[in-house]
Amino acid sequence: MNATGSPDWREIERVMVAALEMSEEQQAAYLAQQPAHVRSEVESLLVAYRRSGSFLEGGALSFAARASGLVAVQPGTQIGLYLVEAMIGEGGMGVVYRARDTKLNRTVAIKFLFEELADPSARRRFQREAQMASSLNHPHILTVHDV
Amino acid sequence: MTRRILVDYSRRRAAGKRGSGAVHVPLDDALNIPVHERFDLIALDTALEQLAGFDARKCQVVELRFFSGLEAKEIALVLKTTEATVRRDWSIAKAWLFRYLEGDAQA
Repeated sequence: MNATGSPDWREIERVMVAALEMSEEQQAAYLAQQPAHVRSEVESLLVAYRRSGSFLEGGALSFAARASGLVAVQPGTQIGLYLVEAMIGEGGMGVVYRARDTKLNRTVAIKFLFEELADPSARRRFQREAQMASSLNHPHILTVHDV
Repeated sequence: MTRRILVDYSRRRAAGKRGSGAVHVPLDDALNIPVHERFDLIALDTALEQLAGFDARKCQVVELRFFSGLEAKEIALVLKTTEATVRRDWSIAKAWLFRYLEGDAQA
């Protein structure tokens, strides 16, 4: 069913691309004209596409957080002096929460990083990634100042 | 790179080998750990390897968007293709991966 390495993949892709631009009614008419094996594969992918919703849309960190509970800190959680109020942002390396310092009664931001970032072999991999990223040299791709 | 780090982390965590260090102690108390989740990063990694086997560019688009957080415009620049192609690749890859993982979860 997963059609891995199917020799018809390019054809399936072409029909899928066209079908994604159409209304469901148009799709049915268009798919009816396709060979049976292409039609069934594209129909199956279209069903998956409609069901996929926000799948993968949140980025790897929230995916990992949901999958492993890694950084899923709930509002109202007390961490030391800090009372977590809400998640205010996320990036490739961590999640930032707004929290209240209960002692000084002020708002703070707490950033959670993967513990991998503290591991020497991970740090070397990050340095390689950083070198690659900085060699791409485009304003929208992160500029690495320090590692 | 980011993909490797996150996937390796999930593997180690799944294997029950925990990191050490005082900083993790208060955090662990704060973590809300769901026991079951339909998809996980290890399964996603396997699915991406399958996808890369017959469509390497779609795998790269997913890596750059999902793991590295780039926008379609930036991905087009990196892969030397058009933004429209990146968007199409993303839609198809997303459908394919979702179906693959859904099949996996049911198996």
